[in-house]
Amino acid sequence: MKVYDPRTKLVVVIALSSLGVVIKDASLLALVLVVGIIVSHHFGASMLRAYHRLKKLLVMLFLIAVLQSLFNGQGEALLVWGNFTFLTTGGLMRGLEFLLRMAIVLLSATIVATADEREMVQGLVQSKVPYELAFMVSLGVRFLPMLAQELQDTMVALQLRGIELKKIPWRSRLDTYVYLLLPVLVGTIKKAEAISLSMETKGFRARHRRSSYRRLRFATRDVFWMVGSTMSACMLLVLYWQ
Amino acid sequence: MNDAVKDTVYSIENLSFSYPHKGGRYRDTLDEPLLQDLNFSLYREDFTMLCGDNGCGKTTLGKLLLGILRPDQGRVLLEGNDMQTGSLAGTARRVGYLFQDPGKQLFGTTVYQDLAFPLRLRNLAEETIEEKIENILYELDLVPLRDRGPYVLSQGEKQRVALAAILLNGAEYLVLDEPTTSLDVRRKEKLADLLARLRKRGVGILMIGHDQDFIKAHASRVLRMERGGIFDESL
Ligand SMILES: Nc1ncnc2c1ncn2[C@@H]1O[C@H](COP(=O)(O)OP(=O)(O)OP(=O)(O)O)[C@@H](O)[C@H]1O
Ligand SMILES: [Mg+2]
Repeated sequence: MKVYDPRTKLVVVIALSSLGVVIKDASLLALVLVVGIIVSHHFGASMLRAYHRLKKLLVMLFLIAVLQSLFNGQGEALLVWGNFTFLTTGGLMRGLEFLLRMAIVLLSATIVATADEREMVQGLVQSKVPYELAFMVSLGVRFLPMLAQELQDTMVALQLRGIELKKIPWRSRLDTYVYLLLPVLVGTIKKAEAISLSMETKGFRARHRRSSYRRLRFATRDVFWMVGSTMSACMLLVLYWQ
Repeated sequence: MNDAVKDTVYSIENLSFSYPHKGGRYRDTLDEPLLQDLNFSLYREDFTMLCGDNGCGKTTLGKLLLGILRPDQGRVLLEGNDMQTGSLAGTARRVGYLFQDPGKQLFGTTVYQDLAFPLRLRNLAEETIEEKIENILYELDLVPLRDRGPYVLSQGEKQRVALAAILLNGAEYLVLDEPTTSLDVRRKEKLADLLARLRKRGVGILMIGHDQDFIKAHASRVLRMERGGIFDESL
């Protein structure tokens, strides 16, 4: 597998996701998605792992898509019950577009995820983003899965108290959520405190200028991908708007 | 004692487990499973100590026994039933599990509330709850901490609160992950006394720990884990 500069990945992702957001045509979106899948595979993203991690989100997106397509009223009726038109061709298209768009955005995320965090910070810094900001971005990215893990752990711990989460009567539900949130909140605050303390002890911002041992350099294939993805995205958009 | 007359709580058959690799380019390439083809049983009569080097997978094994983690291969049988079929909460009412980091299993705003809320969800009468809790607080030396917030307690205090919560569940087997590491000498002896009393009541115990003195004084069986296996040292 070839190693790409994180900045290249960023450019490719921006190109892909702007196409996904701007285009409102199902067949064109499908084309972008197919290209996106090939590209993300080329960049070494693991779609299988992404699928496993995002399963719940995908189910939710699917439900939203279903809701979006119902009661739309445009195009020919597909599903009629009495006086009600539930599903029309227009609605179906709406839902499909939404799903494709989300798929493209998630796909872009898998490409970003292949970049090493350290390199991503370096890439941002070399693109003139202030170090503090770049560092915060990487910290935030690291914090999210930590939060998810924390919630997961707490849910396990709650079940270990002998509580069947699915069988709690509805009037006790709210209480239980409070019991769930408290440790997560405490844990998060404690982690944030620990991080800021350890940043202090390591002399974060003790000097105004930072130098770094690693420098990122563009290889030919980086230039090729950056220029290539920008150009093809622009071209597609120009064609699409005409 | 002969195995035939012992009451088997857990049977572990051909158990293998490894954590999924996190992506990234700098992972080390040791692709052996963390736990490989383990076979052993745990008995109710025993106070079993499980020891082994840091990172050999003791905590992981404990989580597999509770069903928090699922085996890649092989089976964990709790009293003859495959763990795959039961729910986590159902298992927890039969097997108590003390986390290595007990701060993770505390929920309430005070120690009392923390111990009370699972009982309230079980619709016990408030007097019963109070009586149960007062008893356990006394037994574990926690009476002065009754109205303190669990998050500001010391490590050893948290450990005892978590243990109290487990005992309130009425478990018949305990899996304790290093319960002595943060305890002072006096609390350690008290814990040993408590565990001895529980054993008399028929509660089996698996305790993870490195404390050689504690092992010598209290364990009836010692299991040692090393990469690639588990060995019974008391034979
Ligand atoms: N959630 C996880 N994801 C990936 N790897 C993990 C995870 N938890 C533990 N490990 C790894 O599995 C190995 C065994 O961990 P485990 O916590 O079971 O060790 P242990 O025997 O309990 O050690 P200790 O004596 O320090 O408590 C370690 O190398 C650890 O880094
Ligand atoms: Mg451990």
